[in-house]
Amino acid sequence: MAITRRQFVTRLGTLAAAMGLGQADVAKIAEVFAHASTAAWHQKPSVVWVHGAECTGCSTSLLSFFESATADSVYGSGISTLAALDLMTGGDGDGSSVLNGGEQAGHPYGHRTIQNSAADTGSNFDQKKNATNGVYIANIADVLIDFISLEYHETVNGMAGDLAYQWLKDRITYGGSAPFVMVVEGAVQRKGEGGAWGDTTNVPAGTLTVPSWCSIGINEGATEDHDFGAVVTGLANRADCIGVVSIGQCAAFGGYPACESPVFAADPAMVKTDGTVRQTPARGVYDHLEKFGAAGSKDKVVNVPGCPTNPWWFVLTVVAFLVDFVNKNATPTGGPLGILDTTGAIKGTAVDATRRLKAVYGVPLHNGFCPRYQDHVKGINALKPGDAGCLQLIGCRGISTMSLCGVRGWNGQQPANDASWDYGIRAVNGIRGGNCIQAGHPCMGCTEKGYPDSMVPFVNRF
Amino acid sequence: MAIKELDPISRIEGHLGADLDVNGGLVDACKMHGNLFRGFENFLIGREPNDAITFTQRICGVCPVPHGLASTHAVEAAMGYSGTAQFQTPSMTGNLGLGVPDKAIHIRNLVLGAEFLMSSMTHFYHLAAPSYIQGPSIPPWTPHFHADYYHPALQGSGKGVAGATVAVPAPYNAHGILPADDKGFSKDVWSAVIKQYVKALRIRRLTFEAGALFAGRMPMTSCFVAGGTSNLKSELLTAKCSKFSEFMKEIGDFVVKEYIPVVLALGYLYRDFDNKHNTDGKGWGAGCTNFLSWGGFQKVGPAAANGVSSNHFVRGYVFNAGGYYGATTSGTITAADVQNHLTEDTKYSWYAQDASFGYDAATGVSKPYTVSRTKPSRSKAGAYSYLKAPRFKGQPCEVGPLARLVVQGLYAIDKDAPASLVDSGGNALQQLAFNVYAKVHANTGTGLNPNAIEADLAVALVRAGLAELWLYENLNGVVGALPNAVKYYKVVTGSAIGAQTGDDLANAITLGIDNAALTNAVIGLAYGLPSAVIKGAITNWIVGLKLGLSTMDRIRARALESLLLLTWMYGTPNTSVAITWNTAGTWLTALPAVVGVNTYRYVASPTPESPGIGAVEAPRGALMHICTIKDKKIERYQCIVPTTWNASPKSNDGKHGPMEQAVAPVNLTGPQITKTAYAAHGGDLYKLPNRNVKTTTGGGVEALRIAQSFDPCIACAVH
Repeated sequence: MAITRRQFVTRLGTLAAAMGLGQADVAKIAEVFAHASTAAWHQKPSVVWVHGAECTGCSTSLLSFFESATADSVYGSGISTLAALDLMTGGDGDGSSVLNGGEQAGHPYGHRTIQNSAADTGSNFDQKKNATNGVYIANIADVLIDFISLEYHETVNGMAGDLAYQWLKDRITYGGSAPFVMVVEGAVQRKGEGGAWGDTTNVPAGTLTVPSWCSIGINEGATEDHDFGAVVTGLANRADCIGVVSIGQCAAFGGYPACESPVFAADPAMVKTDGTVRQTPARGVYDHLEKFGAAGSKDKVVNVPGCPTNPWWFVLTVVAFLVDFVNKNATPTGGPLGILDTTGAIKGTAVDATRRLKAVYGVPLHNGFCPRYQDHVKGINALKPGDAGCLQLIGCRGISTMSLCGVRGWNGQQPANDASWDYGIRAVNGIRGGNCIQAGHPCMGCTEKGYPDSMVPFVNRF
Repeated sequence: MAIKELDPISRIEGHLGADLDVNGGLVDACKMHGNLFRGFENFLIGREPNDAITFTQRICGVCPVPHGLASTHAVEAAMGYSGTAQFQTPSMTGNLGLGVPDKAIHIRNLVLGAEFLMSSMTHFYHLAAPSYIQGPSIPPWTPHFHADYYHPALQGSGKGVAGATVAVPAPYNAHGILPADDKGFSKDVWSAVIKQYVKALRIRRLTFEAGALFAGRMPMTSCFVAGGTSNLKSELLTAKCSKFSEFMKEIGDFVVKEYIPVVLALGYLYRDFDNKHNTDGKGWGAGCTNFLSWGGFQKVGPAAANGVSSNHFVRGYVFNAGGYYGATTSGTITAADVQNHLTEDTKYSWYAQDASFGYDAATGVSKPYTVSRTKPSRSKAGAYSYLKAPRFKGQPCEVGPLARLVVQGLYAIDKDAPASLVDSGGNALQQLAFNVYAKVHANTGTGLNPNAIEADLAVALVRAGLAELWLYENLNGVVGALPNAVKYYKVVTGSAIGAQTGDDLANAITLGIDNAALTNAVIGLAYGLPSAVIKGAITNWIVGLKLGLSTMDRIRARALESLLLLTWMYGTPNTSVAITWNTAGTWLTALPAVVGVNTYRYVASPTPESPGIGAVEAPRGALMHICTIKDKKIERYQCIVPTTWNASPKSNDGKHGPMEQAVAPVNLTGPQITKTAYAAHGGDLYKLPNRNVKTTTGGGVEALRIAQSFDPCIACAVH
């Protein structure tokens, strides 16, 4: 159910306190939400999603986004996704602008999605299917149609060829009609740098005398390309780029494209001047912008790592980010969630040392939510794959991994998979969905910086 | 001669572009180029073999499962689970001292099967379809091509509605409902298809939820491990299989009633791309006409893993299918063939050497299992892609669902005339199609089965004046004059319901026919004909095609394969009343009955360690991993991936890859786009009538559609 504005404000205040805003002025927040319609975004936030050295796994994962809209939008906050979306799109946090066809001036097509009537003949097939469960559903169609304006995403957008090339070029050169969030999927390989093989041909981005490591478009006359390194820098440097979200291990930290063969590392001929033996100059977005971006561009980066990233982590990071951006003047120090300051910049208190939101990545996997935690407590250990017991001895990285995989699992989120269904090895704390440990596989630490090289071998086979 | 660049080719996985040599309005030559290099084969060197299973899944996030599985087989083979060189690790049963537990093989099959269903549906609805159906007028579906590129019925403006104009192509009105009539049907074809697009988002998610029951999570499964799977050995599987079946029921109903019919309709609406409907018999986008399949989905039991019958999808090749370029040849593939006839050229690739696998440039002799390090060289003269060029017996080969069905003998190809496919018995796919889509009416003979086609789409097609043609043309030659919708109803029910002129559908609605009856009226064709005749017509409609090699054939093969896979995994549909599934003998029935509790078996790495091959079928086609181990670490690793086959650049001897051949009519004697066909369309790929390509579409919509029909995955192809 939608919460009242008062409940919402109270929970927001509690959360603000929990997130380090000890002196958060709840009255001030309340005042802002009392005038929510003037403070709200009033149009769908624009998202420009670019793919670099990636596998599209994170996009594929996100396509399966599905959750109860009344569940917490930010872990432990008591703020539902419904309330957050309502707030973000011009409502006052009670859900009314989201539910039942509420329409906002900034949304020419209205909101259609999160309804709860079995009689609806609309296209929320999840809702119709699950109407008897009495829950509000948010799925990826809701996100795409109602809550963001996904202006560029190679894997779903209608554009192709020269049109797409030109669109992206114009966006880098001129910007759009509204501020945008850039999402980066995949590591960044700058054209002018070489890899471990000594291919250090220093050519300017854009020309085609030699290919980019990663080119995401070539103009119709085949005279210039979009080197991915230049695209990321070009978009992030723009003043109207309000945030850079690195989805997945590769965009966040370099991930697989940046990992190094142990054999090559022992071969002096392979070692680059920077001391790495990376096949290509692949690195994470933050590192790329730190070296090559304009001043301040790296500070826009928030990381949502995972391999792939769980759709829920991504959506709740973005929602929290946007709620704060819309209401960045809610408190003297910035947005109500304590993520952004009054200028819209990310606050150091909101993210950890690897720029992950603490609200999303603040919980270690190794706790009571791990499906095999009780085995750990009792000292029961698996000695080979297929065994019951804690997986630590065969390589589990859960102890040093911050992840909500145990709190809410992967897939299996629909209400039909209710808590009584033993989805995994056993029902633990009513969690839905699976994770690596539920499949009997050790946690591989995919949300942590350093993965995969510092996490191998993934399984100790006996 | 002018080079036009089509890059990015979007709505595929990864970074692909095409270099089109346009001459006199025709694409004389096409060079496909992959634009991203990461270096997986190199950074795997020196690692624990088992880690390759996790690493190689990150080659591709759209189809990680087959990579994980191919890697598992390759690593297991190198560790000694397979005995002599094998394509896949056999089951323990009947293979003394070898193999992995039967239970693990079942689990692997089910997880891979879930991935196949996901991949097929994502490809059609969310990747390919927006090139044929104008999206809603909001991002990400705008900007789109010029409206004239879409069939009128599939333009958001509602042109397809007879005499009506739907002004706003909004995806939903204020109440969250697509334009619908008072019976709850979509008002036009466009709305019906967009509705399926949204619904397919749910269906594809369910495939993941099913797979994750065993895999832990999807994408990027975590349950594969060298020696079996990591799933808890004491786990009771009955409940999980039952849950899996529940998902399959909904997915299967969607495949039968919506996915396959809309794919068939699309071929009708875009007949230039479909051999079946193409007036000159040559649909656009046929490729090299060579097909290859490594075989996939292992059977459990004593059969050797090399045996042709050890997989549900058989291993083999067919060259010159259709006989355009010479006599058709076909055969099975043995491990020795892989050693002797599989090569991977890199002369036209941005790599330092000119061959990277199975080929000794000095002697011109194939060398088994010799794998070079893939050293990038971006300034290499003449090179144009990061993809390599795999060849079998020196030939480029198309891989994927169409290749599997052709190799399996399930997809008829006949260049001159409709194939004669009247029930000959034993043809699983055609028999299946008949069983699903035909219905015997007690009084009137056999006709199309209204229970097997979702009414929403069928009614919309009738409204647009298209269903009659769509359904009827496919049955042409079998029946006489075309009856209208109400006549269908009359024939089916035997009752007269009023005037049969004018807008009969409107009359039917006025008369208060309910949805079920309306569905019957629209698609319940029934004719007093012998069932063998109508059976031939229906199977011909669905699987028996004149050429079977065009753009639409790839899309159709993907849909039909989904149905075939469902029959193996879950059950065979019976649509006599509503869809029920006969689940006897399927994998989901077999798994809980597996004897033995282990999911994993340990084998120490042997010394000396032998090279291992892992070959499986991925949704996009034949996938092979090759691994050699030294001192218990990976010494060499090589992946030969489906899209590397399909989108390959030229081989060292100058032969174009399958996708390059499909886009460009390099051999005008073959089933490529003909000059005649182009002339009929204005003679210019880039300037079709009323289509200002340069400014509104970015160019090359036809080339884009053809390329997309291969479901290319460039992260896979280059890795």
